Amino acid sequence: MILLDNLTKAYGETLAVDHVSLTIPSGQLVGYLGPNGAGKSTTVKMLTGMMAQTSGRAEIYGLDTQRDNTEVKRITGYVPESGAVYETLTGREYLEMVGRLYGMDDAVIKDRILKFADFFELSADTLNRKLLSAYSKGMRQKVVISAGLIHNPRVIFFDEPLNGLDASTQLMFKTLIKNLAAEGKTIFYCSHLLDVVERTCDRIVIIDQGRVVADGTLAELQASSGEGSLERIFNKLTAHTDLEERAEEFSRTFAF
Amino acid sequence: MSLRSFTYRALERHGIDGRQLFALFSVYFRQDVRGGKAFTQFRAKEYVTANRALLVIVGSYVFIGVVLGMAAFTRADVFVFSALMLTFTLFIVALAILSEAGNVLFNENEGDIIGHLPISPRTLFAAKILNLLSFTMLLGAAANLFPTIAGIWASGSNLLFVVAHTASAALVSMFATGLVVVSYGLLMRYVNRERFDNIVAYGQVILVLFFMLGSRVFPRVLGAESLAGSPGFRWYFILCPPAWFSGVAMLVMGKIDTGSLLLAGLALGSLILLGAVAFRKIAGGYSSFMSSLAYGPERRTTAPQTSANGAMDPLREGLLKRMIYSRLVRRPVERAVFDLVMIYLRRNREIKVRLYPSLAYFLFFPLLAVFTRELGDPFIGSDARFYSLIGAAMIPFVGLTAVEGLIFSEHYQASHIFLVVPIGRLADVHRGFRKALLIAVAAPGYAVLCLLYSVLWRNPWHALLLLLPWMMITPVALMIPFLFRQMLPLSRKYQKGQQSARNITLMLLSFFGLSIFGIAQSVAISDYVPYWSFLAAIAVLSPAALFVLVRISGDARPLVATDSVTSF
Repeated sequence: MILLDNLTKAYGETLAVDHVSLTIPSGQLVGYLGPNGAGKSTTVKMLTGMMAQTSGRAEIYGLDTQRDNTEVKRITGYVPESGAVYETLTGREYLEMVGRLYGMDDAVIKDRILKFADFFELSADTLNRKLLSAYSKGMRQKVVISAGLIHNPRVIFFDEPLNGLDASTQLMFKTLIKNLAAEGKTIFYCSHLLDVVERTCDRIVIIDQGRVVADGTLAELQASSGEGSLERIFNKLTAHTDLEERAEEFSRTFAF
Repeated sequence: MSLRSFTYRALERHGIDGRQLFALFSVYFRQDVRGGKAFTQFRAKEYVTANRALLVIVGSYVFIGVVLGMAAFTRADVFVFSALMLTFTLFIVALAILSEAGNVLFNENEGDIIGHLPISPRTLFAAKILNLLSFTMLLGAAANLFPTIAGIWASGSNLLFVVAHTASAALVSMFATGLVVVSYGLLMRYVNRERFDNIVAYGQVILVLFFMLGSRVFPRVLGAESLAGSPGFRWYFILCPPAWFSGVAMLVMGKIDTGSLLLAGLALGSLILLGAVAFRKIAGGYSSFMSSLAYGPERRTTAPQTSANGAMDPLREGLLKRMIYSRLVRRPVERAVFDLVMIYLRRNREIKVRLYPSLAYFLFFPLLAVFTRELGDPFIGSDARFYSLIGAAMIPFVGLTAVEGLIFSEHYQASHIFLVVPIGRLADVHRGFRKALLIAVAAPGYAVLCLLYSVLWRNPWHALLLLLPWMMITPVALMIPFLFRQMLPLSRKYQKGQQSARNITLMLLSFFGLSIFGIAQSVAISDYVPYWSFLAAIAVLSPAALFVLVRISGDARPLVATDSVTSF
């Protein structure tokens, strides 16, 4: 279970996250949406204990993200948007390193790596011999996702996890996270891909300028906004000008 | 025709686009002078911070220049004074550029940023050289700020020394830059991609030793002990580049003679030669080389480092690895950091190119001593113990240099992993980091020195006796950077000058402590106190000091986010 109670992050006078309050029960798959700079990644960094909040409270299964920082990290997994890895390591070396940083036994790490390699169809040769710098973006993302899940966390934070994945792997991944949620894992899913969130998540939270502007199931959001698709709902709640009109105006002026 | 259009046309004749050149140069310049956190966002005001490393280097060199420049007031001959200052300039500029050139010339990440832009190889290469040259000129100017003025008071000098020394110092900076760039360029041209990384890294070590030995040997040859006398022209000046540029200074000062003309001719000829080789032989292929560096099928597999079952195996020797794992790095977090540092030290080109030249320092003093026959066995009454001791003192210093160098990496963004995982105390990360350096840097260093001293003294026992106290204090010395700061390996973005600035700062800071220890050992060797009692004292005090330092260090603190690891 995840609890956000008036969670706030301020940079000077600007509030990147502005008094966000949410309660996410176990086994729920929550889509966390927002335009660029809305505060999605900042929220995730605070929830994973990577960044201290300015005020408010965040708890994961009753553990305070600041006070019980290490314990929170032990039960959470995080797949960052950047996909940054130590490129001079092989995929296996990287996963072994992450496993050890989670304090796992080498035998368990080895077993989990084999399972992830099998699931993501990463060959032994690729995993054992190729440096991560030689991986394609999609292959690297598979390693990053494996690293986020290798310790079997109870709560998983995904920040644009589908970056670079091919269509079939995306499909597998979406099925995987649904199954993980069905097993009782809580999943916090940040994305710009509205259709993925629309089809995958049990609940959708939209933030804009650090504030929650919508929270509910797709049906609830449709009912409250009077719009049909998630895209229309999202634009209605977060776009401050008429986007289509602006695009048309720009394309006209761009013809020098 | 304006100066700008004249310059652009002149550059165009050499295949260089002037507008692109200055656009690139201004970008590189801004990158260099701005701090890592250039803009502070989300505040009422945005502001630019300066690259403090550059300020530290400039300040240090101004200070050293003041100390050395005092020689002008000892009735030093103007040629000798000029040659000494230029030797120093060549030395510091060459070392700095050896530390920095790799990151400028072989920046793989740049391929994605400018690789698709219509920039000719010559323009890109010229921008890189201009960028390096601006750096070396800055260092040269800092080091010579005081000597340029003080030189007026040197014997046989006049007011023109200001102009003459400014010009010769600028030219010697260009020479150092050109020599390093051409050396790299020829490697790019003639060495295949697979071997390039290692050859560059080890080639730098050789160049460092060359410049270090040259900077020590030339003043001796010149008779620097008696600065006052004019040496006149000597044939071996032809072999000493700083003397060439002193010849230029003499000509500018109006001291025209055959020797000065010959030396100045060599100076200008060498610059023309380096320039011609750089732009005719290297520049044309620069972009394609960079492309192969970034995207080519280079060494991207790692069969030798990975064991048959694919397990992480940064240490090749099975028995040694098992011993180290079972005895030294047992905790999972420690082992993860240990392996990460070991692998990057051996495999990552950026780390090797930036760090290996600094690691070569420990070889310098013993090599110099061998060259000058001053590496005597201190246990049989030889007075020539200075180099033996300073050689040993270099190992902890080099270890400290490696610590400082390894907190930077081109893959710094990946260090977010340290914030994501449940690391309760920094101690596990720090210990893994220090142990990797003890195994990868200090242990081989002591092994090489022990072998060298054993062979020279024909007494391995004496070699071991001399080195043993230094081995005992090395873990204590390596604690120093960890005392007040969080030291996550590979977690910061590297900026120009940081390696050089840290080397200088470390040298100044560690000089005092290590010198005191060396003096204490020297006293013990001299039988003022029994040597065994000195060894026993160190054997007791080192673990005690380590215990105290660990207690007062930040090791017990939890890991906290820093700017670099949260800005991904």
